[in-house]
Amino acid sequence: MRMGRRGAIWALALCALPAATLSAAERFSVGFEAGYQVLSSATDSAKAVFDGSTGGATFGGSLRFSIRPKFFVGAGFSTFSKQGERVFVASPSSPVFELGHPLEIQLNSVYGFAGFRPWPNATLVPYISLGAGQTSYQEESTIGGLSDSSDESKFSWHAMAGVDYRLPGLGGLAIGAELRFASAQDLIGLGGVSKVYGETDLGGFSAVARISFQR
Amino acid sequence: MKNQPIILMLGVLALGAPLGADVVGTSDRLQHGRPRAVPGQVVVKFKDGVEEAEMARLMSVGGGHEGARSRFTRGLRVVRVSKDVPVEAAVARFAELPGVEYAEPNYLRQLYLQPNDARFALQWNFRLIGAPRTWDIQQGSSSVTVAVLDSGVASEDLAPFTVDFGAFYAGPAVVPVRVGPFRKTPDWGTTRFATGYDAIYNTGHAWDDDGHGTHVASTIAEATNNSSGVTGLAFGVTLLPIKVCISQPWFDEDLVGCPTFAIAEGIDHARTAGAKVINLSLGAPFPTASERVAVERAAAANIVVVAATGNDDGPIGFPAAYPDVIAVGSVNGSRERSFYSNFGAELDLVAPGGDFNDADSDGRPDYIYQQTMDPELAARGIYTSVDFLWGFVGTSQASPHVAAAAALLISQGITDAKAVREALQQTADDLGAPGRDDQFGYGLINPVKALSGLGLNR
Repeated sequence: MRMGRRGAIWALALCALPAATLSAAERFSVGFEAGYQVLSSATDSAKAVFDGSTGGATFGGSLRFSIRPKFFVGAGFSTFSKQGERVFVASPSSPVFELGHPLEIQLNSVYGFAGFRPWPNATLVPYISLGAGQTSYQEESTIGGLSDSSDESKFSWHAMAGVDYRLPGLGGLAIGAELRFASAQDLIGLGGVSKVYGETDLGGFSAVARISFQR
Repeated sequence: MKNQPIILMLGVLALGAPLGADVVGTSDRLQHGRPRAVPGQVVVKFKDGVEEAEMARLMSVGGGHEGARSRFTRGLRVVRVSKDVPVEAAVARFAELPGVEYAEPNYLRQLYLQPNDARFALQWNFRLIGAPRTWDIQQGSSSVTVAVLDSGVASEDLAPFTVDFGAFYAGPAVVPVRVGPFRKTPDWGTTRFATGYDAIYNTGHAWDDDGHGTHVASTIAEATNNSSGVTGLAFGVTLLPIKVCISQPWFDEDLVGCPTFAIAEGIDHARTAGAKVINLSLGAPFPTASERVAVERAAAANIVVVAATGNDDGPIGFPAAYPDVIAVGSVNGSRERSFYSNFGAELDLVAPGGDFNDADSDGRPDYIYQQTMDPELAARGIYTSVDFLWGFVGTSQASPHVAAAAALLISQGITDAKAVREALQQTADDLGAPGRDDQFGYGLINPVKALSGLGLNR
């Protein structure tokens, strides 16, 4: 995955923070996530090439470090892919014609984040976090037996809100749920249906379940 | 054929093609593709020195068994594995085995269509618009019917028959004329035809007594990849020949041309017969109500109507200038406006119509070569089956390129006539002044780009 300079600096800075501030009492967690992502910032484009669908499965993971009882930082990644087909649409108000050429997109995000837990010692630990990073986008089509691909990478913002529940007696295993919103401006809109619809952001909402190991 | 000041834009620059030796066309198409592999097979090369028994054991260890062995390379096998196992996983498994030099999927290559038609090298016009790559994507569906309203199409053998003018002739009584026989031109191969229509003599057959219509129809769907003649851009579609022109002075020299009543009748027949595209390689500088209304009915019936702009280096003629018609001008082999091609605000697109230059330096003028017959012989009912390719030049020749491209788009899934027009316009190669202009319209058609459609961001 390509990472632009700006996103890389953000992610490294946020990840480096705990190394300077962690004390022995502070917690660490590693989590894996799976859920559903909606390309809600590019719904018209997504519906056009994905036969009316705007979402699909997303997977990811994250590392979190506590820097104060109520504050944490971390780094995460997410990946999303979906298959559709190439279409023709003359204008935003025109019908969509499916042309049968397979199309697959892949969205990968890497980001650093900082978060806040108002009640870190509760059974259910809600949190919010904000992050920044880099989102790369690959698109590949097969037209008449030949492949055609492109990729873009842009700075992205990420906002997350969730809750963790530490399973008692399971040695630090926790489960949780998280709602996210991501924005990656100018990742699309250069061509294809996104240009027709004037959509430039391939971000959107996602809801994921999270399983993590904490200590 | 006696020359007439006909209102047709019928190959007014038609010339016989000085054909030389066979030349095999070349292609510069890409040779890479998205990998496709035979499911359940891995090609494995065992290292030199590995015994047969060990190969069998390794194939078993890898979860497979021998499917085939090379007759020429020792230790090279096709190993059959379960089709439920992804080929990539099976390849990885075999690649890790000791004794295996390499393992790879049994990739499927694509048979690129480089047509073997003997005279394809003559068709600079199809190379100019990327026809070989176009055919990799779409060759035309038989469910898409393209009506060719013209002098007729030599698509069937006809015994001599008698024609009279019926409603068209207003003069004194005339003796019916016996014409024919007519023969099907030789390079129709598997080209499909719907039952033709004669809007002039009402004979029930769209017989061609000129050669123009056969040439135009051949640009759309001459048999392709059949080792003979040249090719058609949308050779998989169904042609609907409709005779709307009086090409020979059978009764009266003043009547040679294409009556607008017959054109209107022909358009309506095409509409009711289920045509999706109508090509009109004809015209004149003035509109008529009957023709316009027929065009409007066709457009309302979701039919793409394409017409030539004319060969006067002047204003665009009718029917091309009607708003519901895609008006097509001509470019030469250097992508310049052909010296004769009419132009103006109504111009939509340009396509190859040729001229007398030799842009590709093949020693021949840049005519549009297709099968047809000798008009002089046709006037006496004789069709020759040798040297049946003729080079014509004109917007009449440009128009069927666009009609064929429209038929390909419909075959690909763009089933709305307005969307087809938009697709052709939006994907055309812009020529001349940036954006649409009166010399080239939206530009030179690019069937590959139009058929490729749009991805999410590309």
